[in-house]
Amino acid sequence: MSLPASMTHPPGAYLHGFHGGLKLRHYKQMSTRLGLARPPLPAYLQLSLLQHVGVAAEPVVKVGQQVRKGELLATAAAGLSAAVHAPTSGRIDAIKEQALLRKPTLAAAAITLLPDGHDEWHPDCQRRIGNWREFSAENILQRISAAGIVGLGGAVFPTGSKLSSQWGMPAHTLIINGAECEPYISCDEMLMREHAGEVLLGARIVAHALGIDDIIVAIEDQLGALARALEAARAQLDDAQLRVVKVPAVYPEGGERQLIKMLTGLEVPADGFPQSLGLACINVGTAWAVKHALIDREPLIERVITVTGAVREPRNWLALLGTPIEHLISHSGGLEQDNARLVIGGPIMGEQVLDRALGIDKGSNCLLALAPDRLRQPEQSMPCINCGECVRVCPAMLLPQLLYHGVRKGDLGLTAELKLPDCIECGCCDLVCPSHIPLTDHFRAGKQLLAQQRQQQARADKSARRHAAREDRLQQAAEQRAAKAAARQARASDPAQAQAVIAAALARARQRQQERDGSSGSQAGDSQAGDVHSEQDSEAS
Amino acid sequence: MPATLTLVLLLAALGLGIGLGLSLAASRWRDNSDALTERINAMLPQTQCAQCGYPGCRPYAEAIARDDADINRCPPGGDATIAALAELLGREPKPLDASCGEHKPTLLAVIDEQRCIGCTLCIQACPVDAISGAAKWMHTVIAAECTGCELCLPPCPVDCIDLIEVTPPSQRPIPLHVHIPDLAA
Repeated sequence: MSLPASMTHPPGAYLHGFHGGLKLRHYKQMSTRLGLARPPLPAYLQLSLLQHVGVAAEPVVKVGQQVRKGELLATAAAGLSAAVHAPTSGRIDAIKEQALLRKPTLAAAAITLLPDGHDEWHPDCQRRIGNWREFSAENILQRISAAGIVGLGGAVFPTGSKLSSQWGMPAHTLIINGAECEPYISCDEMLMREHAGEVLLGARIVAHALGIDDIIVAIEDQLGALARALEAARAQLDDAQLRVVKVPAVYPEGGERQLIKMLTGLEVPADGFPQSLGLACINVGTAWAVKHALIDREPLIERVITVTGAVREPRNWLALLGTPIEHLISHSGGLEQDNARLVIGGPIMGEQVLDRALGIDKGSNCLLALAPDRLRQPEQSMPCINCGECVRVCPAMLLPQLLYHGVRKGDLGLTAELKLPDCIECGCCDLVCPSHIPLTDHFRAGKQLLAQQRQQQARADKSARRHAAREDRLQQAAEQRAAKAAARQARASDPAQAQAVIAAALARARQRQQERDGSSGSQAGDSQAGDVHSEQDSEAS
Repeated sequence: MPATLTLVLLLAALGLGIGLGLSLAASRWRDNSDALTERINAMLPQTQCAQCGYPGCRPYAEAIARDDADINRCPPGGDATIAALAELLGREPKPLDASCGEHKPTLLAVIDEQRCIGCTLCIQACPVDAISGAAKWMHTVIAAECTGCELCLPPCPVDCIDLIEVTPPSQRPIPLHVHIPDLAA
């Protein structure tokens, strides 16, 4: 392992701070009392084909088709995309456009699967595929992509693409992100508690594929029991180069950029990725999914989801992808209050659930029921007083109060200048704003507008290029035509050249005539050709 | 008073000197027209529809840079483009010139493939090569390249091209969800 010059110590040897952030109450214990379990098979599963960042997957099954557990339902499209597999055996009931669970303003095709209850694996799955230590890096990354694995921390970036993208320098450290910083969520903690060995093995496989020796598992500093469980699993794997590092619980320390800042003291460039520092950072759930893809030959068909808040039995479920929200709620004892607000994701970064019939997706780490008395009402919002609290807590070091004015005025130029796209939507500014302004809500809308504007600009640039290319082509064609016409003109105006052209044409005609005479042509044709011949002869002389 | 006179003369000389210097600098390092054309062109929507009376967006940008054309002749750009151009050129924004056409939402050409006779006339008319096909073979519009300029409509002898409105991307409303919880440590 060779560290870059900018790193004086191995990552995690010392802890550094990051700008801003907040200490929050955790509310995590309530969902960790009951162990990890699988809910009963739901009546239907609804699998969106856009559960990841990028382009929607393309379905390869038809309505009415019988599929088995682990069978490919939709293949990754060209570009950034991820495959979708059948979480259980059953029949495809419908393929239709559906709003996305975690991005309610977007829609994509979704497959509805009716389970047959047999839960029968596809013959390609659950087969030993040999020793992963003998696999090439490409083979492992390709298997990770084929299993439809995406970042399970919530960013849902296709993991295969993330790990095989350009490296700014030789890879030296793999960070397994178990610093689950948002309140209420405990899915990563439960996964590590109950399946520590699988998580560490998955991490080792990824490290092997990237040629990395050093692995850091980062967890929050108050999880002492968890650290011991991880150490025990590490001892069992006999992996000396794996370190468990506890990081202080300052929200959002589990953000990729914040965690890297904490462990290395270095900042990931705004337009870059951790790769530019020689680091790879994946979520514990992702590492667990990699283990299942490489060892058990199972694609990503389930994930851990925390169901918590105002439900009677808050707990973590190992739920099949596509399990309806309603199903999870009812099996967690139901809502304590009927008017509780359902949120998919954490209390800060999550989105409101608008349709309880929708199925969970690969990024659904938490289903939270927030009682009305825990919510801030929109009418409590007051004008901005420029106090600067939001600037103090912003971990991306932005100027939220100015961005807020920019978005409100619709001044996209200003928001771009103030680096709105760098906002990680952590919601720290919302929490400290004394005027109770929903700042992050504005930033999400503004980011969407900016992205649309950039798309439009890219399209206009392409049109301009295509128009210019066409103009060039037409001009070239016109020039060629003009050159030909000029050459013809020159030949015609010079008598000697004109005669030569005519003589050559006559010679060709005579030759054809002779060939035809030789091959017993019809009488009429011959005489006609002869007439033409004589006419041309007299013209020439 | 000689002192006052000296002062006045000095200031006058100073003003004259600075003025001369500035005007020299202005004529020497003038914003060259190529750069200006580029900047104007970047503000035009690149529809290449020729409704402005020029054969494309760039020629129109050149005409504006030369001060031969007014800034309100781009119907696809509409008021937003006029405002941006006015800002860039330091002019007053004015309403769109109605003689050029009216501002419409983004359009997309669609060929009714049943009726297409494969005459290639629309292919020749398309300013961005967004129509694919060959003589006596069915043509089709490459949706990702079409600018909705409507130039393929007039040459079509069987009137098989329709322009449909492109649904604009959905806007995220504010506020969509306000569930800021009480989380203080």
